[in-house]
Amino acid sequence: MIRSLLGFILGLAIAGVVLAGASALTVTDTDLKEQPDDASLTLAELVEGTAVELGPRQGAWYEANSGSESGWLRMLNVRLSSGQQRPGDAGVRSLLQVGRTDATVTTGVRGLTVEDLKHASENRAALQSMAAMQPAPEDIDAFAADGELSPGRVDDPEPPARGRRSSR
Amino acid sequence: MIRGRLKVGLCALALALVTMPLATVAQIDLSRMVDTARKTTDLGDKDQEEEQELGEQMAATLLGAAPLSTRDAEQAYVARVGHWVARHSSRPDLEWRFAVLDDDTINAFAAPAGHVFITRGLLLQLNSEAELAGVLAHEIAHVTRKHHLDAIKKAAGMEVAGGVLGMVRGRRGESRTERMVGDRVVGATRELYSRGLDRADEYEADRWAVAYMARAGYDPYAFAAVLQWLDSVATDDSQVALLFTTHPAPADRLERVAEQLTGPYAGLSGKVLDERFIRALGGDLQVDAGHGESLDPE
Repeated sequence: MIRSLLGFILGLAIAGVVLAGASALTVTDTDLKEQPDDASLTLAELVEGTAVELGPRQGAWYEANSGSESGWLRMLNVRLSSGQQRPGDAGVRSLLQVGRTDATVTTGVRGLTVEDLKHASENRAALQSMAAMQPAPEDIDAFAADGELSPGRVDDPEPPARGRRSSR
Repeated sequence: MIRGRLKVGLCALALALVTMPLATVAQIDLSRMVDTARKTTDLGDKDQEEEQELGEQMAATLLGAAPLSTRDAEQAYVARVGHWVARHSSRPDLEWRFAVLDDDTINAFAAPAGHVFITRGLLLQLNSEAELAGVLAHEIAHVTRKHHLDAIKKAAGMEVAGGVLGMVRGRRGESRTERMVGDRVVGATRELYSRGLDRADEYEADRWAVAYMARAGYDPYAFAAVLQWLDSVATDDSQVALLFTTHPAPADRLERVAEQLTGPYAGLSGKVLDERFIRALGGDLQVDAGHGESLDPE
């Protein structure tokens, strides 16, 4: 019962991905490609400042609609419009807030402020609870296997490019 | 071990005897020389102990400002992702601890010795496990690069190795003077979390975050996606006020991460795991909605 309810909700979330578009502007001239691949067919050459609707992301690409054509855009060539829904929004927020009983969603943010931090005193009990919540090593192995996460070799990052200010 | 230390001390003494004029030999304080030799060999352990004490104190102070989320499935999920990424960091052997703070603001924090926090406000804005891995990897990098550790020592004026430990311990006890210096650590902790780290440290944490998450098998572009989204959040939004005052502008961070992803890290790919992310957080949805049941066991 619970499982079918969850399945239904997940179904809605996935449908939401298709329906919801996030608006964005291209920040440079960029090609709208047929596939998320530079080698694929170019459907349109979009100039800087073109308005697009974005769908889900796949690697370095967003699914995108320029109004006349649908294809794929390099994700780093767009800037999301302010206050919009996220591209490929999985709907986690709306789903999870359905069940929230506290009134803070409408009355304001229950938020950690600088003032809270400035007056904080140690909570050792919470620190102990935190320690008790950590998974066992075999649990982590199983979790990674379930997600088919395979570790890869990646070089250490290079130091910042020369001439780049490390401003404060 | 002891014999080794003695050897070091004796060698140093022998060297001193050979190189010093006879007149000064009489003034050599033997015990002091042995002490110095011992201090050098113990430094590694002492540093670790100091990091542990400081990390626990900083984490406990942060937990004094924001409570832990009571949603078990959420906590377990975030901890699993965090531990998996931490295993692929430069310091896999630390006692890593991950937790969700029950707070609506958008933020994440780290404290020395492996303490990592993400607010529920940020968690619910993410779209996938890879994005979560990226956020946690950034905090993991603050720990592995010892950003907070170095900053707190500097802020409390205790750059001499081993000096902090006594002060932290002093807080729990002994003399009034020791307690006073101990309080300085707490003060510096509050100040550090309010003011944030050096910007260069944040950029460095971003660079290592991409490396760690990719090593753990996640799609590194997910981290760029988080920064890109942050860049679109209005700067006057109270949910991001603290994050924005303590970090460089998201656009500046994204620019650097983009250079990394299209330059030396071009071609990296990995898992996104968006459905597992929703499923995992959905586990708490049942409880929240008052069904009072957990998922069918099977």
